[in-house]
Amino acid sequence: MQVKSFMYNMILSELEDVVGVENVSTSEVEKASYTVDYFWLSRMWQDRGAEGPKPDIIVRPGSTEEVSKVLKIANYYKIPVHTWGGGSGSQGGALPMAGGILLDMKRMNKLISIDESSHSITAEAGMIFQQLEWYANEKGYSCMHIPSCLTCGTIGGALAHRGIGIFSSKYGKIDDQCMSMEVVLPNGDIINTLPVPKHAAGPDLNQIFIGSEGTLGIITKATFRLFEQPECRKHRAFLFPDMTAGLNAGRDIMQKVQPSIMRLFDEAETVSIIKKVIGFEKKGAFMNLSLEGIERIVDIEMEIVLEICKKYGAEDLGAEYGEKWFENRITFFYPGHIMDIPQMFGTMDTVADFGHIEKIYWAMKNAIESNFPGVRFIAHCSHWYGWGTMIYDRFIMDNPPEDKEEALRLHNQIWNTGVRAAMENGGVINDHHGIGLKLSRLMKEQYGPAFQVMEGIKKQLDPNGIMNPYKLGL
Amino acid sequence: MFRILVCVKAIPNTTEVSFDADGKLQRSSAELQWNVADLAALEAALTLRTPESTVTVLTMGPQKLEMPLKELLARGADEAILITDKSLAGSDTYATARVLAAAVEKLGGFDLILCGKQSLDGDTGQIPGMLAAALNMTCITNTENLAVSNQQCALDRILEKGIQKLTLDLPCVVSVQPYAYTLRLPGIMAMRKAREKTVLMLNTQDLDLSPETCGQSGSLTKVVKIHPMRHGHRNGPKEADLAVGTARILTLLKEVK
Amino acid sequence: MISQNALHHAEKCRFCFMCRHLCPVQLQTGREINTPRAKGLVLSMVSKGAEAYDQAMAQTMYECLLCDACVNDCATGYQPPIYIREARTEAVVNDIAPAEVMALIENIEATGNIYGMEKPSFAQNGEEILVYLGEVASCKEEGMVKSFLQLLQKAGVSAKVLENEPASGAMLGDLMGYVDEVVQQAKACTAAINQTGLKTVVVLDSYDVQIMKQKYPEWGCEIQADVITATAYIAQLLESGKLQVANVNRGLAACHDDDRLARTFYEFAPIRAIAKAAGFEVTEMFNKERLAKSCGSAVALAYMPKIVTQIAAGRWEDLMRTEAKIMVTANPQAYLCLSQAIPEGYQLVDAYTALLSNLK
Repeated sequence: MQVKSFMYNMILSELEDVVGVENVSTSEVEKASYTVDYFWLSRMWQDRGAEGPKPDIIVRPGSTEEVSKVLKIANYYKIPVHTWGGGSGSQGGALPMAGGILLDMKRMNKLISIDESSHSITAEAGMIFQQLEWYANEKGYSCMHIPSCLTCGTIGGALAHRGIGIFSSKYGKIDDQCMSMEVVLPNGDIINTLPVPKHAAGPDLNQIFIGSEGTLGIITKATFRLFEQPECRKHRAFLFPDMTAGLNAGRDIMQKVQPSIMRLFDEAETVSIIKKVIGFEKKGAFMNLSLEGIERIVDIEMEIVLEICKKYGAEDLGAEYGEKWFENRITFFYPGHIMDIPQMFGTMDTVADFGHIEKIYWAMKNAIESNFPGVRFIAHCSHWYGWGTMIYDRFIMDNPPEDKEEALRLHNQIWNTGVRAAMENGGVINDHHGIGLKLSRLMKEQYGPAFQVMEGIKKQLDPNGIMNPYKLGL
Repeated sequence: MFRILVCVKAIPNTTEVSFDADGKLQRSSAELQWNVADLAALEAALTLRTPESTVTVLTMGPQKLEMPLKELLARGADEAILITDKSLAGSDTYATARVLAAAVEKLGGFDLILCGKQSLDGDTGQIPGMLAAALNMTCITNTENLAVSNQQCALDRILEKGIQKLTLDLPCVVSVQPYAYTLRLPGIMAMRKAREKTVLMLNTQDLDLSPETCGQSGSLTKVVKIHPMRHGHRNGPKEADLAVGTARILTLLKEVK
Repeated sequence: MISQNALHHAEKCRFCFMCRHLCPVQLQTGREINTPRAKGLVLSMVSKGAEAYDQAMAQTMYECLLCDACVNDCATGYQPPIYIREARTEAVVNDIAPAEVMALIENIEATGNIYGMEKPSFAQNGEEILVYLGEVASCKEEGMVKSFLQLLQKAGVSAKVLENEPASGAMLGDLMGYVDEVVQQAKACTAAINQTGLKTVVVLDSYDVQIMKQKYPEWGCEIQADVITATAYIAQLLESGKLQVANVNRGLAACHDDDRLARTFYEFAPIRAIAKAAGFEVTEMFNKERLAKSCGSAVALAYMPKIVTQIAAGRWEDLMRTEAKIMVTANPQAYLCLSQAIPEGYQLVDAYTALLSNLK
C-alpha cells in the first residue's frame, strides 16, 4: 500500500507540473461528477444509490501541448486515459470504466480563427458546440450542426461520436462538416490531418479519428465549414396513413429536393410524444419537414414536396405544425418532456438503405415487443440520406425491475435483441449516437473480419491500450 | 403547558405524479412533499405559540419522512412524531383518523389540534372531522385568523358566501385554509438544534392497534380504479419575449371570460 | 439535508445537460462539477447516502454566481439556484462552509457588510424620494454614488439617503441561503424604508432590488413605497426632460446587462437610454439581455477573487469581439468585478458618471 502511495503521489506531481496544481483534482466530489453521463445504466445506477465508475485523477489541460505531455506520462506509467467533453453522450463513451486519468477537455474552449474567404471556423475541441455556433452567428454564419445536444456536448464529443444535427439532410453530418483536425496521438505526438477533406492523397485521416471515441487519440482542434444563413426557412407538416407511405414519400423527396429537416414519426410516437409536445391529436404517421435557402428555390421545392406527399396519400397539415415542431425541437429534451428514471429506455438508432429500412423497423419492433412484455417501441426517421435513412427507435419500460443488477441485465438483453434484429436485416448498428460502452460488445458482430482493420490501427497507435478502454470494441 | 398538535401529510409531488398503463398512481416514482395546507396549519400553530405552549407535528407515512420531519423541527416545531408501520399501507381516511386518534390518546391529549383543510392528493378533507369524531371533540373546518385565550379559540371560518367569526371551547380540532399562513423559514441555529433532536417513531404495537383495524382491512372504502381525466389539454409554445407572452396570456384570459 | 422542494429540483437537473454552456463559472474553470447538473447530481447522491456532504462538496456549492443563466434557459422551469442556495445553508449549519465565506458572514455580523468596514455615510435629507444605495456602492464605488446623487440634484429631485442604511439581506442570502437570519435583515430594512414615509424608493443596486421585489413579499415584508431601479428612474428623468444633455459623440460602447436586471426584471432599455444620453453610440455584444453572461458578483469576488476575475475577463472577451472599446454599466457590483480585468486599450464606464459629465 505504501509503495502504491509512492507511485500515486509521484504521478500526481508530474501531472501537476504539466497543467498546474489547480487543474488536477482527486477530490471525491469531483470524481463523483464524472460517474454519470447520459447513458441509462449510469443514471439508473446513481438513482438506486450505487457508486458509479470513478476516475483516480482528474486532469484539465489548457493546451494541446499539455494534452501531449499528459499522454506521455500516461503511456510511460500505462495509466488509462478517458477523455471527457460535455459528458452528455448516451452510450457511456466517456465513463471512466478503467479508472486512472480523466481528461476534462472543457478548459480548451478558445476560438482560434474564422476564415471568411474560405468560409471556415477553427476552435479548440473542448468548446461546447453552442459557443462555436454563436461565434459563427456573430459573423452572420452558421455551422449548421444543430443537434439537440448543441448546448450539452463539446466539439470533440460531436466528432468522437460522429454526431449529427437536425439540419443534416441538407448540410450533412459532423463528418461532412469537419475539414481538418489536430489530434494528439497516444504516444504524445501532435498531428494534423490534411488541410482540406477532399483529395487523392490516400485514405482520409479525418475519418479515422472521427468516431474513434477517444480510443485512438485526442482531438484538440478542429476546422469546420461555415454556411451562410438561409434567406428563408419554411416548415410544413403532413400526416401519412402509415409508415410505408411516409418512407416512400421521404425517399422520393430526397431524390428530388434537399430538405434540411425531415422527420417521419410512427403511429406510436405520433400519438404519444408529438401529441404531448405540440398538441397534435390525430393517428397516423406524422411528418414535418423544412426547406431552406433562397426563397425562390424553396418555393419551387415546396411545390414538388406537396406533389410527392399527395401522391402517397398524405394529409397536408400546413405550416403550423411544422413550425410548432421547430419551435419546440429543444423542449423535447428538457426534464418532464423526455423519458426519465425510473423508466427504462434507450434509443437504438439504426441506419440502412431504403431497400432494407422498413423491414428493419418491423423486425426490431416485433423482436422487442414479442420478447419483452411491458416494453413499448416507438420510432421516427429523423435523418435522411440520398440512399436511405435512419430509424430513431426507442424502447420504453415504465416499471423496470427493482433490483439494479436485474435491471442492468434486462437492459442489455433488450439492446442485444433489438440491435441484432437490425443487423440481421441489413442495418448498421448506429447512426449518430456512437458505440461507447453500450454497444462495444456488438462491434465484432457488426464488422465481421473487417474489424481487424480497426484492431490493427488500435494496436499501432495505442500499443499499451491506455486510451478509453472497453469502448468501441477496442 | 398548552399543547398544540399539527397533523401533517407527505404527498406525492404534484407536478410529478404519473399513472401506469392500468391508470394506477405510481407512488414509488413520486417524490414526497408536505401538503401545502398542513404547512399553513403549522405556521398557525407557531403563531399561537407562547412560552407556555408547545407545538408537536404528527404524521403517518414511510420511514424516509424522518429528515423531512426534522425540517419541520427546524422551522419551529418543538417535537415531531412519525407513525410508521407496513401494516398501515392502504389506509383510507377512516383508518387513518383512527390511528391518529390513537396516537393523540397515547401522547396524553392536546389542547388544540390543527390540520390542513385537505390534502392535494386525496382531496377529501375528511380527516379533521373523522379525527374529531374519534376523539369526541368539536371540529371546525376551513379557517384562518386563529387566536387563543382563556381556553378558547377564536377564528374565522371561510364559507362560500362569507366569513363566520366563531369562538370555540378547547380542546377542539380545527382545519386551516391553504395559503392562509406562510410557513416561516428556519434559522441556522434552529437547524443545528433540530439535527440533534430525535423524531419519535411509533408503530401499531406502540399504539395498541390490532392488525384488522389497520391499513386496507381497517378501511371502510376501497379504491376500485383511478383513471385520469383527459381534457382537451394542449401545451402552448414557450414564449421568450415577455411582452408578447403577456399579451398572449391576456388574450387567453379574455377568451376564458 | 436540503428540503424536499430543493431536492426535487436537484433530481430533475441531475441528468440534464442542457444549460451548461451558459454557466459563467463552468466556462472559465472547465470543471464538470461547475455545471448546474453536476451540483444537482452530487446533492442527489448525498440524499441517497452515496456521497458525504463534506467541505470539498460545500466548496463547490459556492462556486456559483447565482446569476440565473441556467434558470433562464430551462424550458421546464427548474432552478438550480434553489438547491445550490440550500446546500449553502447546509454548509453553514454543518460548519463546513469555506473559511473565506465564514469570514464574510462574520463581517456582516460585526459591521453589517461583507467588507467588515464602517459603511461610509452619504446621508442627506430629501423629501421626494428615498435612495437606497446598498453596501457595495457605499463601501466600494463612491464615485458612482456621488454621480448618481448629483444627477438627482441636477434634475431637481429632493432625495433622502438614510444615515444608517440597513442591509437588504441580498449578501447574506447569497452566503447562507434564504434563512431566518436573512428574513430578519429584510424586516429591519423594510422597517427603515417604511419609517421614512416616502412613496418611492430608488434602489441603486439591482441585487437589492431583486430581493426586495422577489423575496420580501414571500417573507411578509411589505415595503410601502414603490421600489424602482436606479436605471429606470434616471431613464424617466431623461425622458421627461428633467435632465438635459449635450450633443457630443464619445464613441462606440456596449452596455453590460447585469444578471439581476436582465433575468429577474427583463430591464434592458434604460441602461441603453442612459448610455446614449451620455454621448455614446451604442452597439451590442452578442450575448446580451437575458443571455448576457455574468461578470461576477461582489460577494463572489470577495470569497473567490481569482475565479471572478477570470469571469470578468470572459465578459470583456465578449466586448472585444465587437467594434466597441468601451463597456458601460450602471451596477456597482458589475463595475467592481469588471474593473478587475480591464484589457489594455479598453475602458470601463459607469453610466451615471458619464451622464453627469454630459449634462447641459
